[in-house]
Amino acid sequence: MLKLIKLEWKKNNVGKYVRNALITVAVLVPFILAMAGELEGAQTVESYGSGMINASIDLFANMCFMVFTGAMLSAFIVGAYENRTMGLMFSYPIRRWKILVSKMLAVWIFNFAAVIVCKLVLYGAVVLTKSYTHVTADSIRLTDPFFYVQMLVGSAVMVSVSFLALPVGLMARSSKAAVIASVVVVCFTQGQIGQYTLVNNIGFHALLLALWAVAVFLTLRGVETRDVM
Amino acid sequence: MTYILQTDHLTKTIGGRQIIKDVSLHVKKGEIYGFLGPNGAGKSTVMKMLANLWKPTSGSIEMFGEILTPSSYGVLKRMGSIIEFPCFYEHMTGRENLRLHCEYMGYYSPGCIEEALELLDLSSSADKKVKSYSLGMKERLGIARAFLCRPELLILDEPTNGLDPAGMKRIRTLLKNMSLERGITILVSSHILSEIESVADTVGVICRGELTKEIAIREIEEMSLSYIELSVLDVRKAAYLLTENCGITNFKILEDKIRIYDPGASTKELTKALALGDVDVTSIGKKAETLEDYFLKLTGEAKGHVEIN
Repeated sequence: MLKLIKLEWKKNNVGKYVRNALITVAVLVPFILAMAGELEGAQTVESYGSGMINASIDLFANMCFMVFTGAMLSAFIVGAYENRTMGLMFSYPIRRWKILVSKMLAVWIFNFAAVIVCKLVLYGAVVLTKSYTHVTADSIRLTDPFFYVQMLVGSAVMVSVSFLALPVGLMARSSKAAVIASVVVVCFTQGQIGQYTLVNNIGFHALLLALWAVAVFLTLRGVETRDVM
Repeated sequence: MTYILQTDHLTKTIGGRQIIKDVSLHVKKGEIYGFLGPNGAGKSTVMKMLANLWKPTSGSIEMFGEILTPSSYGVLKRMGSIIEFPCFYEHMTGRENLRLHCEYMGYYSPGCIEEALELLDLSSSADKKVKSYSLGMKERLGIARAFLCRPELLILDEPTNGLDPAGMKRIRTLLKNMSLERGITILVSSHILSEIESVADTVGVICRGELTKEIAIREIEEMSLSYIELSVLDVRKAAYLLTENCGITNFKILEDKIRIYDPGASTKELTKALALGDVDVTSIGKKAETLEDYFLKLTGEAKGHVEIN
């Protein structure tokens, strides 16, 4: 499986995605610092709570890499059906479910790693610059293991939930539909209307995770006996 | 008889429409099997089922002595294929595409990529990105990829599409060499009669999803008898004279014409015999039923869709 995942990265030119992820992080760092500084200056951090900076970092990192996941799913899987390279893949002596799972894992692992790196960089940047920006960074507990557990679980859930875009793209046989679906998922999971948001709604995220399991199941179901169109 | 590939009443139904009906192919080990049929006859559909891309609605496929099931992945290691148009990772070079193919096939043989590139005359463009390739170059790269891992069976769906006449000739020669020198069994489809005729040992003719004939080229050549065709004013009297005076019984009457299939008959003797019997002969000449006639007869109404080149 590891070899299949590596081959997926190789043929889908993972270097391009690494570069784009680095650019995303590079853009987010000054953005978060500027925003945090602005919040502090306007004395709004206190009104929202000291966890505001954590929420902002999570929100923007999750948003960016959920769309990233949608884009990669569209390129790795939906695009493979569109440009008919999936037919080529299915002519190899490899079980079809393994091929599909390797593609999904290639996307999942990359984005999970990317979002973790992104968050660590953003938290690190805020902590390192707090003496200059005077940002309240008490909620960033870099020495607390629970802080990392929370980050890992939260990121894993977010990347997994992004896979809801996959069945949409596959049903519509359209990469664009997959990317648009991922943006819609981002809006639902990360958006806020007035005071109302589903960001911290555990029940909603549990439901999305269940839907993710259904999405993966639907993608793999009957793949061995399905005609490759 | 050893068949490396055979199908038994292979049928495919899509949306309630039977597009392949009871196709029973028999491909012998080491031969080139030409799969001939007009456009839309069902050649690609059958080949997709053979390549494990589509699953039959009913019937079975036996390959390398094994009945194919949805989990028969082992046989795919022993075959190479191009179905419809070959597709590639366009941002990668030709060489990288071939290397990737070897990785997925689990095939490692030093020099095999170079050899395949050289055979298909692609060495000079091997390091160019596939997106810059012409249609013909992609087709050749597809053949190189199908042939790369030394398959025992090659399934090639219209492999000369997009090639110029020189390229087509090169592919024909290559297929013959693969079969003769390496013992590779090749199933090649085409709607162009001359393409099949010049390479195949056996021909399967498919028309409207049905295999109408499966026959060795050698048999067709033996069957394609030459005949003497004569036009006369009184056909009945001429037929009587041919039987009674010339001892000829192997002939066919077509309105005002008679076709004599007797190999011993000569135009000179026939003319003389008919003149003596007072039968006016308006024309007489030797003719031969060609392979073209044979195939056009088999494809029936599809006439005009099978290209005679």
